[in-house]
Amino acid sequence: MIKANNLSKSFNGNRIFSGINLNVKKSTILGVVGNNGSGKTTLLKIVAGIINSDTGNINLNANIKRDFLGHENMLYQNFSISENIDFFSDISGFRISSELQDEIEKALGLQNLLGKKISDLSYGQSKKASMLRSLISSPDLLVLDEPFSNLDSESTDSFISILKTLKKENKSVIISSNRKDVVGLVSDDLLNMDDYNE
Amino acid sequence: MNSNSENITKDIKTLFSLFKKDLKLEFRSLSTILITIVFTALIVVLFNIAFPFGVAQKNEIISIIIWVVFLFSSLIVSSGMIELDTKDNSLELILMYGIKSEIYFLSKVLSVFTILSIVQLTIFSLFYVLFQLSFQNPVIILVAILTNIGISSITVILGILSVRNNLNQNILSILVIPFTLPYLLGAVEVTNQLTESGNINYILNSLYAIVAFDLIFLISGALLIGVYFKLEK
Repeated sequence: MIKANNLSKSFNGNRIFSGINLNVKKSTILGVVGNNGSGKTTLLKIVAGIINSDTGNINLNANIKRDFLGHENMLYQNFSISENIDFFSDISGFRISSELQDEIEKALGLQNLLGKKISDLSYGQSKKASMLRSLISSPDLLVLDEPFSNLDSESTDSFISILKTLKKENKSVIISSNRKDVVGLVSDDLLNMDDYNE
Repeated sequence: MNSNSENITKDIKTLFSLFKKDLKLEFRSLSTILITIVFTALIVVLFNIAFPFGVAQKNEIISIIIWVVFLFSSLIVSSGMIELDTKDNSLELILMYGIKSEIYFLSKVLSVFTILSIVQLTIFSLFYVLFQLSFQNPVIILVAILTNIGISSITVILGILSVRNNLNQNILSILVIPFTLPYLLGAVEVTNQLTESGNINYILNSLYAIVAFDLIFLISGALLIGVYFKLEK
């Protein structure tokens, strides 16, 4: 699905990490763990295509759709969940069937919140809304940055069950967290960023 | 339909999706437009109280005030429009979905232009009511539109650069002045002529200059923002 060799990144002359190799196959979940500041978010943004690495390369089939879910929910606070979904579907040009969308909304427990503005939602609900946004384009590779942070156990469980469903549907996921215990539960493989820091 | 025209249709659709989103967000919160109109009204009222000038000087000074007020209003509007996408990092998603930076730039110019047109209407109405300024020639509308296009382009270019670099917003007001001088000079001259004589023959050269600068800033802005986003990545 995606192969990366010798990735490194520096900011303002400070090397964040170097020599990272990745190989994420179809239907697998890669967990990226490490302490704060180890470069997890930076690596995930490189894999998602948001920023470039300083060295190395990423081999990705042109037909592979990627999506990214960041620390921030990246949604428009004054738009409802539905309006955000409609806007991002419009500009990405991708949208799953409405039946499948209903299923995901149900799994995330968002059916009754679709008309609510993001600013009126709790942290967990807005995180689920951004999960919905990233799943609506039916990505082949989903990159999730700290999806479990500040989530209650119920929400964490629903996220984990969605990740398992994605895996069954031949999707691949890269997930970062400093909670090795939770990531370990769902990941097929773990990458420890602390081993690549200088 | 060949792939070229398909791409153009897709780009135009994307441009209007981005534009529609900006307007919807702005008209829902009214945050930028209200601040700008209050700021404009305050300045115009203050000038009205401070300068009880005679008819001879009035038009000359008013032409300057109109465009300076408009310039500073444009800074508030462009910052507000750009912040819509940067506040929650939605811009990263927009770019991740492969939206061309040129299309993003043009959509922002269109949004700023639309909001500024409303501000312009307010400014001209206030000047008409408070200063009894009469516009004898409808060409003033054309001048307002052309100047608006250029100033929207410049403030969007500088706004994106300053917001993405976390520069203090005040720096935008310093940066923008040298770039907008050609517009200000041209627009003041044209407004002067139109409010005094209404004769279009005296203003043709200034109008051509404004159109030329519009094209320069629109094209160079689209290219510059494209290069900037690539470098930033």
